[in-house]
Amino acid sequence: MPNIGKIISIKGAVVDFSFNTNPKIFNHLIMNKEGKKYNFEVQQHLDPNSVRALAFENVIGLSVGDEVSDLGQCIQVPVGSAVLGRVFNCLGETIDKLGPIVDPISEPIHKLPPKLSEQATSTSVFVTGIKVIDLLCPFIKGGKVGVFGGAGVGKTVIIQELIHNVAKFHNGQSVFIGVGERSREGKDLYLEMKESGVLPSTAMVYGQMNESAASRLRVAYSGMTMAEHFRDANGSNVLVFIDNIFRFSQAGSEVSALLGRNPSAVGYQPNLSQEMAALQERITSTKKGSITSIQAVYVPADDYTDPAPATLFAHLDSNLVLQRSLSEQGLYPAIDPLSSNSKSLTPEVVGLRHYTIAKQVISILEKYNELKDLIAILGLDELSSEDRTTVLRARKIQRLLTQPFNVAEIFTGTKGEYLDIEETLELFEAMIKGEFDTYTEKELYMKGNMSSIVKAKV
Amino acid sequence: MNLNSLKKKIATYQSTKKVTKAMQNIASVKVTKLKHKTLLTKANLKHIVELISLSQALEPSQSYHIIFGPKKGLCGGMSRKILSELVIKKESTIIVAELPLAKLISERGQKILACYTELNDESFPIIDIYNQIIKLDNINITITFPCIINHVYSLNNIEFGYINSPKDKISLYSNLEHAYYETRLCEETKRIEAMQAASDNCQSLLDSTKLKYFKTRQAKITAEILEISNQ
Repeated sequence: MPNIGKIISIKGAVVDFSFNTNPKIFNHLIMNKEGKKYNFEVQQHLDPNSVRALAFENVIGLSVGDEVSDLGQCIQVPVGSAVLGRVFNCLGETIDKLGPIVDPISEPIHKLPPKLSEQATSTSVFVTGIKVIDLLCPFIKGGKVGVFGGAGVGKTVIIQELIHNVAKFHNGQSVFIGVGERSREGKDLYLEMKESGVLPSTAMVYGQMNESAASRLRVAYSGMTMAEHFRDANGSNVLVFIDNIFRFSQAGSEVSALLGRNPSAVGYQPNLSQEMAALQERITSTKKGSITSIQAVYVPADDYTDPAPATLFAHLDSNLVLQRSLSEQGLYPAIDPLSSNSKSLTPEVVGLRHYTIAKQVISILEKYNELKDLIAILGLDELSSEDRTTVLRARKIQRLLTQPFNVAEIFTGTKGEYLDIEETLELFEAMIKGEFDTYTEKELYMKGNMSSIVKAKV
Repeated sequence: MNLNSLKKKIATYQSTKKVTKAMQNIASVKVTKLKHKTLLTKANLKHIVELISLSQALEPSQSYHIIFGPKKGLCGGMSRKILSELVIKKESTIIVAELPLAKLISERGQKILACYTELNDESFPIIDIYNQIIKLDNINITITFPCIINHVYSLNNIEFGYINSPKDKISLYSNLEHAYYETRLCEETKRIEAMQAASDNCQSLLDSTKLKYFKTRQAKITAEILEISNQ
């Protein structure tokens, strides 16, 4: 006998129901009215016979007295290999017009993070095959990476390349979670992924900006649930992309205001850090597999002290900063080597050789950055010979950090390159030693490993 | 970028501009002085060249190449320009006046016999080079120095066989003296140009940074007002 309730009040997306027996917190309530389906999630118990819930859809057409049924469980989403290549909303319904998933294995979206005893403690580097990332801001398995950068600087291409490399070289799956961004961007990404051939190893979950606050808040959990299943059931190394994690905090703040909680600092929800931690703690490596996450971060008004990004920073291991000035020069991937950093770039994690090479590369680029003003005022000719060498080498390093991508092959016509960490180190070791001093900048631009550069020169 | 770092940048550009402007002014004063001296040496030279035109050159047994370059940097990369045009005979022994050019030549892998540095305008400037050369017999000497003719920079080569006669001594001395002053004049003229360009560059950097500074400051003020009005 299903537990049936009735609407007693509707205030925007906040709907109150009366029940004989209250459904549990976070239970999924559904209603069918005039051929339309409405979904709600219980948020508060007002008294023993009434609950406050949030609507996942627009409440147009609802009225007091309408009946709702309690499903007796929280929202469940499909998991397993069936979700690969498909697009979902936060409720786990397919939205790619390819029909629903037949006999899905489903799991609840609300889960506790893995216990400390289940978590993997060793730190191993996650090789992405992208030179600049592997050398200067290496990812750790189970780590969290924040990607900073505006629209049109190549964020999507980097994400696609990572998905491609994970599928091809690590036999892993990826989950893309679109949180509160433009729905057009979501569609573009889907089509591009389809075109570049990485879709079959990816599941996509969207709760975009046209959707209700509740669905934008819950979509991250839905995606995480799919990723956790790959990690725990298949023992895979899973990549999770969240675009954009700031929208998750923003949605939380909207929900909080709708539920009538008192706003905290800068108007954010009082449970901001708890909400963020509940999601971030689920992204971790266990003894079975790992989830590595790449999260695009929007920083409101470039203010890094804003509570939302400030709360997030505590969780991130690496920061990847994309710079428009680099993409304008055609230096792709437009990752700024000086602003990007990684906590794992230490001799203990990456080894002394890698650490030394990376630090030397950074110091050359830093020196070039310092000299830029001087060059802008006095010109390159006024520099001392050592400084000139540094500048020329730094410019070559910038070119050497560019790389042709597999997923961009259809646009550029250049075959994509994947470099393992040894190849990357060999390349930059040679650069620091000055072995490339006789090469022109063009000969180092958009090249892969050492042999391809030498071959192109000959 | 935050307000403080922008403010620091503005201050740096402002002080740099002051320095480059001052250097430009100093160079202008020097040019007037040097022009006078160069013209004097040129007049002397003309007279002497006529005097020695009949003298016969001997087969050189040794050749020396004396190259003049700027005293200091910040003159539009003049040393590098000289270096790029410089042609030195293989068998020549190189003598360079002033350190910046000497450094570049030795970096290129050429051996330098002697380098004269900090030659002074007021003292007898090329007397040392002259005294060294004068001791030698039967030598071929090439003097290379930059000069500016009608605002166009070029590299001047004077080549002559040296005979140990008083006339030739005077000729060599005068040539060296002229080359020295011509180089100095050239350096200071180039410095005016370079410093003018540098001051202009400073100004444009100042303009753009100031704009950025005001924008950032305004954004901060707006954010604060919004925060207060929302409370």
